[in-house]
Amino acid sequence: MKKTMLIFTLAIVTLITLVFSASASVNLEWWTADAGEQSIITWMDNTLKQFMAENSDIKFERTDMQDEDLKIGLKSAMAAGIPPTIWMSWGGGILKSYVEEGQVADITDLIKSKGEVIPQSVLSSSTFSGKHYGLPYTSWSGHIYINKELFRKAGVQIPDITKNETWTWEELIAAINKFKKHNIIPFTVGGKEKWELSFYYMYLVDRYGGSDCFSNTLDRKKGYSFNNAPFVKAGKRIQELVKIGAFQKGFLGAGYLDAQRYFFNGRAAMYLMGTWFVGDLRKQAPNMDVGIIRFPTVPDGKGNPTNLLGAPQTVFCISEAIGTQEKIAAKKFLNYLSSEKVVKDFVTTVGDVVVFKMDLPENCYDPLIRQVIKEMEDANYMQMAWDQYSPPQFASVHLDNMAYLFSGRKSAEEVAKNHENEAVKLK
Amino acid sequence: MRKKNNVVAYFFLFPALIMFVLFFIYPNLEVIYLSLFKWAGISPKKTFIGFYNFQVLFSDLDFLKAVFNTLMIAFQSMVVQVPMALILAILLNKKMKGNGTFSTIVFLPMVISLVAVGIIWRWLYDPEYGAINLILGKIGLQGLQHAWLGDVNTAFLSVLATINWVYIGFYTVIFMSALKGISPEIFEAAKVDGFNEFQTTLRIRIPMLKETIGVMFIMCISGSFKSFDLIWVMTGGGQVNSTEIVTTYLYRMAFRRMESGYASAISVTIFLICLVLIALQLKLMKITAQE
Amino acid sequence: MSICFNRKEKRQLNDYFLWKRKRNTFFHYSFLSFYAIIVIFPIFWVLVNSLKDNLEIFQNPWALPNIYRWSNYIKAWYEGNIGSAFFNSVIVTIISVVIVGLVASMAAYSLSRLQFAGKKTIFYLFLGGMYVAPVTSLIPLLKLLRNLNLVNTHWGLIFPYVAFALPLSIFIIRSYMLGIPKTVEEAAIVDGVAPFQLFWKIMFPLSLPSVYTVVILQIVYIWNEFLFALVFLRTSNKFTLPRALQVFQGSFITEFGPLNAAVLLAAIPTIIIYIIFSERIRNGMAIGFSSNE
Repeated sequence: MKKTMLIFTLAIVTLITLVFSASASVNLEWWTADAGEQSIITWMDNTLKQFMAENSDIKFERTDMQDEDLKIGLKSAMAAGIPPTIWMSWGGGILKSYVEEGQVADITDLIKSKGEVIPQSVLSSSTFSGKHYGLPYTSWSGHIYINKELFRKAGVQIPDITKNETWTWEELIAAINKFKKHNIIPFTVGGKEKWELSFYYMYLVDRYGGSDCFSNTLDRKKGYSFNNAPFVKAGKRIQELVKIGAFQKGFLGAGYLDAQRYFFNGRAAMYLMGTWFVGDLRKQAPNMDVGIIRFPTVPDGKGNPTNLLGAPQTVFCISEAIGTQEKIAAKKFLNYLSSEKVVKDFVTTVGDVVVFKMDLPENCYDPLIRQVIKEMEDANYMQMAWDQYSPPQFASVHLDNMAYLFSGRKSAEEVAKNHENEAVKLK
Repeated sequence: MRKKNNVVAYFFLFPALIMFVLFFIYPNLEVIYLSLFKWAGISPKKTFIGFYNFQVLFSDLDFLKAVFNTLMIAFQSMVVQVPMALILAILLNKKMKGNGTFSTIVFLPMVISLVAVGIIWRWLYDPEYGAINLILGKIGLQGLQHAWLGDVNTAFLSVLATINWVYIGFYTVIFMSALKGISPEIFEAAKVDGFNEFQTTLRIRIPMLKETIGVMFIMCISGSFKSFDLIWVMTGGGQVNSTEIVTTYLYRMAFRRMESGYASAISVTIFLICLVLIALQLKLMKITAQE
Repeated sequence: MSICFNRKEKRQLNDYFLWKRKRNTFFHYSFLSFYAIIVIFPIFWVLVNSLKDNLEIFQNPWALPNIYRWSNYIKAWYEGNIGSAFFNSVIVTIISVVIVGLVASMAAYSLSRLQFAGKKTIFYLFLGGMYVAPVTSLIPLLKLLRNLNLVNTHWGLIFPYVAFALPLSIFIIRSYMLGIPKTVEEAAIVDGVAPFQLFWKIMFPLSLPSVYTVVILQIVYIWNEFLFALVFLRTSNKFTLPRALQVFQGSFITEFGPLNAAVLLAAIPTIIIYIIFSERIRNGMAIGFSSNE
């Protein structure tokens, strides 16, 4: 009697397990930083719908957040051992610290299988010790966007980017003075977001010290120090700009949107910003005559004027701390995301610059973006933003010091020294 | 008549205690434990470093600045918000037409989320479009126009003004009902003694409201050590640290610099600082009560 | 003792008092109006800008709108998916606040009126809790919730809300109860009322003003709380209002009209609750019992 009961129970348990495992689908969680980016959301919705139609055993729960919220949510979830399956990363230093903590799945096989479609150059921000930990998707670069009408109004010659023209520092200063005379804000910048300040400093260091100056210094190569001339001189130039009033009044307190507003409503002539801002520009100021120029050169600078600030913008990563089934499904999804069909969908719906080498439809990009892409192709070197490239501790010291530098609270030398002190700790 | 009655007492305490211990004490004990580690807060991986985090902390000038700013906010709340609220409450408690409407209005800022308040006041302080500069310009005070949040010298004051805008109404309402509890005869007596409004307030109202004011002071301090949203939205703790408070600093350590062990040490230290403050406060309150 | 005034003197005195009262009235109204304007203006301005489009806001942020774009509100409501978030927020807020009000007054009763072993320790424990910011224990709390299987549930939000609300709430109610004269209960004890009855029938009703204070404070706080909601909730069907707003504020990152509309929409329920109960709140909210016995 007892035996029959046991067998009966076992049978039922087996049956239940079978039924459930047969119908059980893999549940994936996808976290993005695209809250409110309407065009990207449309693309993601469509892509997910198609993918789930083709793979009925995979279910998705997508959560769109804002940048800052994603950082908090992701970190807490990882620390508590309940990470999302797939998330959107920016690559670089923070991704590296996640990798070091064993939180990111190695997807080298997936990347390798894509072959030539993903150029080597875009992989650096998600490759550590020879292994690939992310699928780069879009990229950005930083340019000075200009309001051509204001240039004409102030009588400032526009350096022609198509003819490789670049301003010298003197020309920049002269232009700034002309703008000021016409009551035009030369540069608008959101100093509350310290990374915007950092753009100027990074470009100047590059113009003074050349391509590898920063990475060599951070890696503690012999003879390199943050106390060296390129860093100090860059700091001095920044304080010169602040002194002659190159930025709008109260720029240190201005947020990203506050600063952008000055450009959109035609108060500011120049705006040093990343490619992503073009979408908003077209929405907010559809009729504005906008162009791009390169960051000016400096006297005795070693940097090539085609050098650009920029890097992959979006990198998709898979969590290491999840089940095998989930991991396989997640890889399948990333593979799908990077398929030609989906990438084409992305370009036509969103219009951001993708990293893939594919035959993309003619004119899928905004003319301004086409110009940016041309610049990226011609660039001698792409400098990843320091705060993304370096370990989080250094990044945060760097950003804080940018505020000190621009506010004049610390001298160029002190700021350079603070960088050096933090870099020493890294080794 | 007082005898110990543990069973009954713990019966009443039980629900509060169980939730408090589980969802408050326990996680915070873990914070204390974590403060002894070098820990990125990304995975369970951590290295024991003893009290090293605390050693670093006490020579961390940015942290000391954040503590100072937080204490300034607490102090300022006590000496500006509470007296201002008392004045408003005295006025609003008079039998005058329109006081009902006024007192409804006064409380309004309290019900708006602090994030929203932050967004609104960022607009008001905007150097170009902000109402404050616009009004100053209209009444001929162009000289006072200013990048309120953008200037290291005014950012902190501007934040303080916003904090006051939010909380004065709350204290006013509390004072209003407390003042109603004082019997009218006392005021009659004061009038006979020839007290003017100021003297009545100083000699009668404030002593009668001692308890209420004491609790308010404690709320000012605890509020300053817990506030986060408003400053985060308005300045991000920025302006070269001039608006950094302990919570924004802690947040940056944990989520920007990935130094969760250090951030835990900060929380423990803040807690210890607060314990000292409480002890002081209790002592002061007791002394006044014994008078 | 009486002082005699002649008619002229009386008139002069009357005039003086009249003048004084007029002066006081003038001071009263100008002071209050000035303060009311400071309070109302920013809120009014959000209302005005919630009815404009970007162009109008940029060109003249302080002018009234040419066309009143009520559609901004519809946009905020639908695109923000505020509907379900609104409902979630109501549930979470009500349950949390009811628990806090009840549990905190029970504890406060024990701490203010009863004698028991460990009283001091427990009181200081709660007191210390008043100074701990929620941001400090985010990760340990999430781990705890995971172990209790409460991640992405409303209870997983309610329990921490209650726990973090308790210290201040207990402190406020306790200090109020301390001020209630003991004669009230002593009479009841003589009549042989059991401790539970004593609390429920006498102390709780008497300390209601402080409970109101706690309830109002917590409604405002929980209704707007974001950080816990961000970390503890994972799927959009569970999101509370601040979380949903944050998601969709992104979509209006450059559309200030609907953004302002959303800010107001989120505040409207608390404003309405306040206006309905404002009379009661004003007369009933209290901290620190000031008796005049």
